[in-house]
Amino acid sequence: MKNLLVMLTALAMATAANAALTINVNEAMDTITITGDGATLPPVAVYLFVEGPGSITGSNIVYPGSLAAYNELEAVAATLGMSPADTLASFKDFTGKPALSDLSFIILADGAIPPAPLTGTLVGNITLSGTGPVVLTLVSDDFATVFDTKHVPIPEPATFALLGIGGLLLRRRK
Amino acid sequence: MKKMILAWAVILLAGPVWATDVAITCTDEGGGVVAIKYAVTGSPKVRAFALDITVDKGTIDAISDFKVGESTAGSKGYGIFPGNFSRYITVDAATGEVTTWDVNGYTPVADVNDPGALGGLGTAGITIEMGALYYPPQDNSPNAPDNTSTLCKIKISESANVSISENVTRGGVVLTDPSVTANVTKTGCAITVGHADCFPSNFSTFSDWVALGKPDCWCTKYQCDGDADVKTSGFPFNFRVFTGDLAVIVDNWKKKIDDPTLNPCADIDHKDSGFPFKFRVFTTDLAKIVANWKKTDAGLPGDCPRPE
Repeated sequence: MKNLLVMLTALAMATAANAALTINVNEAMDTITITGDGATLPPVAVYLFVEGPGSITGSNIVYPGSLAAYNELEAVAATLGMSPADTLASFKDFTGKPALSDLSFIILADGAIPPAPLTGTLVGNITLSGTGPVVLTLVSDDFATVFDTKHVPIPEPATFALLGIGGLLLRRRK
Repeated sequence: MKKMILAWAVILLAGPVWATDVAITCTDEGGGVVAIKYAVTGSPKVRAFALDITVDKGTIDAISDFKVGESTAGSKGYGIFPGNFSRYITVDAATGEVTTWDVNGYTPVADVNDPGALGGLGTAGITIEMGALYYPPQDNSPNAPDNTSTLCKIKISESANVSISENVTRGGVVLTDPSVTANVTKTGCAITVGHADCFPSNFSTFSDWVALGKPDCWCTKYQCDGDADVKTSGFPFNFRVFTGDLAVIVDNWKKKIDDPTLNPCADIDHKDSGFPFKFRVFTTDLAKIVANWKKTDAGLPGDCPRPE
């Protein structure tokens, strides 16, 4: 399992090598952070998309810009005056992502000049939950720039069970 | 063989020279008005024009300054509009004379339903058809149209490139001797609309607008409330004041009027910061962005430019 995680992490790092804003998923695959390397300048607004059987909740904006904000799907829907389901359907149509299951809209902007740079952890503590593999995508609000994409192999409950049984067998062998 | 070639050359040189060059051009008359002109050299003369006039932005909204009716020495020109003649003009059956040329709606613009015709006024393209009838009918008639003149003028809605082409389906350029083909050149023109008068000259900031090169963005509905990039954020929020505008402010922060890289659209308040620095883009501009942050068109007055 550790080898698998190391391999996945290496793959993820390779994907993010040129990204100025990066999605980071912890080993337990239950928490996301977004970091910046300073190459992209503020202000930016980005969507964090979840495709597959998963969802994201909660957040902690670390970026110090006074105009920074994290909007979950419900907040996005409220701004648009639509239900979350209709909002999601609208995004599915517009982006051509039929498996889109959740999203958040993140604004990294500062009302001071010069603005704080987009360096280090910008958003932390986004909780990821799900029942199977998901794809996370960080894309600019004009949909022109895909900053990062991560494939997260959240194990399905059946896989968890199999892993548990396997663990028990290993213990008995010892 | 050499003798044969020589004989052909002699025959060709001895024959009458029939050649008509027709140049069709357009010129900016100011205020969005474009004159469509022609210049004919050689013979025979032009009997009729069928031209497509198009703009690459906005619409063609009006047509004016065209001759109507028969060409006479006192009023020469191409005033017969073949496509619209039967729709609007009545010919007295007894005398064969036209009852009146002064009919509302009788213009050179071909109807959109006519084969090969463009969309017409209010669209990006019109087809005009203009012919000349005169007596005596010879090219040297004193009543024949001049060889150089203005066919008509059109009014366009915004700055655009105007293109002219022959509408071959509707006849193109036809000479009085239809067996001769005209050598037609068409030259379009770039028209600028709005610079002269889009910003009110009685505003105290008018001189600044002129000094900054009369930027169109100062005349847009939301620029003075923070719409520095002159667009919304698009799907799905359509925020009028958002990151794109803030980015323009950041890029132009503390720039002065003599800075060639200054984007005047970032000058939201249309004023400098005063003594001693006179920054065109500074805290008051940023403050307007922050005050209207994430507002849509519905949340803004939309009445820019306003008196300062």
